[in-house]
Amino acid sequence: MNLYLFAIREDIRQPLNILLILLIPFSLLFIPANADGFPMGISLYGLVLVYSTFLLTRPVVEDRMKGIVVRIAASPLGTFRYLSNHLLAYLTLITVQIVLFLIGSLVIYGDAVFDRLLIFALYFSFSIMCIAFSLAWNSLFRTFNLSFGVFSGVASIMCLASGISIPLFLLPRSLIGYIMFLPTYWLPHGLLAIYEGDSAGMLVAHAVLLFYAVIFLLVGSKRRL
Amino acid sequence: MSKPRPDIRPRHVYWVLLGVLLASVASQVMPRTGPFAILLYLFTIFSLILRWRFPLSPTTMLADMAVVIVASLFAPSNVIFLPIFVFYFCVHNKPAFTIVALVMLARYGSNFSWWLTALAIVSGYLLFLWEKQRVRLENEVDSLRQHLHEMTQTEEHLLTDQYATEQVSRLLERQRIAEILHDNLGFELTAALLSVKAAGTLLTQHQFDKALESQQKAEGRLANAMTQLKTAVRQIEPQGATDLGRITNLVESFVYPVQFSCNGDMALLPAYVRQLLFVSLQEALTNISKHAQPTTITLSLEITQAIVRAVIENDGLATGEPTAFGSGLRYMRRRIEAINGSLSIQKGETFRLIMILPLKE
Repeated sequence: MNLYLFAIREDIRQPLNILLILLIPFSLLFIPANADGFPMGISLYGLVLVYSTFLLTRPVVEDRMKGIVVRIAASPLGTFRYLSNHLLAYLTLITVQIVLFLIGSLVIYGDAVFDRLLIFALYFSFSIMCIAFSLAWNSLFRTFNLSFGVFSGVASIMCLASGISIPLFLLPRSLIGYIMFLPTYWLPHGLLAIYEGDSAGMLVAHAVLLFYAVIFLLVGSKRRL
Repeated sequence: MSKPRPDIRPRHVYWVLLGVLLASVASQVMPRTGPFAILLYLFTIFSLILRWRFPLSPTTMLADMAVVIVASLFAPSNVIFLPIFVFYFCVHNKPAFTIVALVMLARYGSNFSWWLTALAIVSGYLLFLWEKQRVRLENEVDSLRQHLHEMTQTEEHLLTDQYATEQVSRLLERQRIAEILHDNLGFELTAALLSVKAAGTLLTQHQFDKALESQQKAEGRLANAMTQLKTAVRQIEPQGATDLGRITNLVESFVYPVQFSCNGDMALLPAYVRQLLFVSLQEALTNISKHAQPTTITLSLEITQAIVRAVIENDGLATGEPTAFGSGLRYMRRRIEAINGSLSIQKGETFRLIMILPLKE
């Protein structure tokens, strides 16, 4: 078994992860739609993505906690291969979740409401950013519980302030200039651009999310034994 | 044990100052942030973090700065990002690379961006000087550590050589004694033995006159042997009296008056202990002349069958005198410990140095 499959199996073993991947996203589909945008569940799914990716990256922190990283550093397996295989495994699981969620939305909302391919692409970029963010965040802490404790507070505030938990149009216009610095802002921004058919807005959202992902990856991939 | 002082290095200040600069830039960009400004802001952070993660040459930063300059040509308000690059080049001592950025700032910059640039130049160049000095000092410390390490190794080699030389000296001395006994005493004693045997044979043959003559010859041989034995003993005898004289001379020629007392026979000491004792006393007295201004110095030597105990006491203890072993005392202790002896210090009203040298291994 290679490292990629091992990382997937390690994540699937956790019952909470199965619950996150399969059940929780579907509950969002039953939130009623609003008149000026996509159904609220489509935006709120960003919150699920933030927490899902964070919980999925748990093995990387635990490897550091248990000293497995030290053993890996002494083995022929390089840090790049170790990280890339793990992160690709998490991305695969998240992609499965996104696909399942979009299939669910097809069942609930029907076929003609929105372009699911564009939304899939946006979710995909957002989940890459979220995985990189989780990696960078976890690199600041020694224990997963402390990391998750602080993260849950910070992520909730970020999602609330950046238009994921509450619709973007409900936020004051003067605040938009400030919350643009939050990486989570660019999911509702991209969703709005898709809704309005603004191709430039969509591209900018992708570009910013991927830029953030690269920065977080650079910070998070630094080897800490 | 005192708490270690927090180690603040130039790179810590570098990141703090970068944070300040990025926050200042964000404060200018924020109220009217557009996607383009956000992308440029992220690009700047990316450039800095990339160079933190990978050791890229500062020259490569020119390409990143060129992107910002081109962006500033389309939207002049973006020159606000240039002080960050100016700071980076100042920290890396590349003032020539900042010229284009400075021209752009002079042409399109606001008052705030000029102030930010001034801060970037001054703090960046000071950081560069700090880092340069730190590296120089670190190299000097490394070189001194290396030197100390080499000296310690040399000392260990010398101690090993000293021990080997002592062994060789002992063997040579034994050989010399054996030669003296064989060459001088051996001949006379053999001749005396033959004369006594001859006298015995003559007595059995009732030739009393010849037997008496042979006995007289044997007596003569034995008398010669006695004389040669005394001469050999004088030749072999250790220079105990001479060594005591050396110590007495050392004490008498010292700059401060020393009360010297010696109990025991110096001749009992092996040569290497006598030499070590003399060198250690010399070092101890030199230390007193360097670090103290005593009115009274006492030096007492006690030589027993098992140990030599030397106590040097002075009342001129300086208030700022370090309690830890200095290099002179440290080397002295190492030499004494090399023969399983001990060196200790008692510091109270007076400064007392106690040396114990064992005579039996």
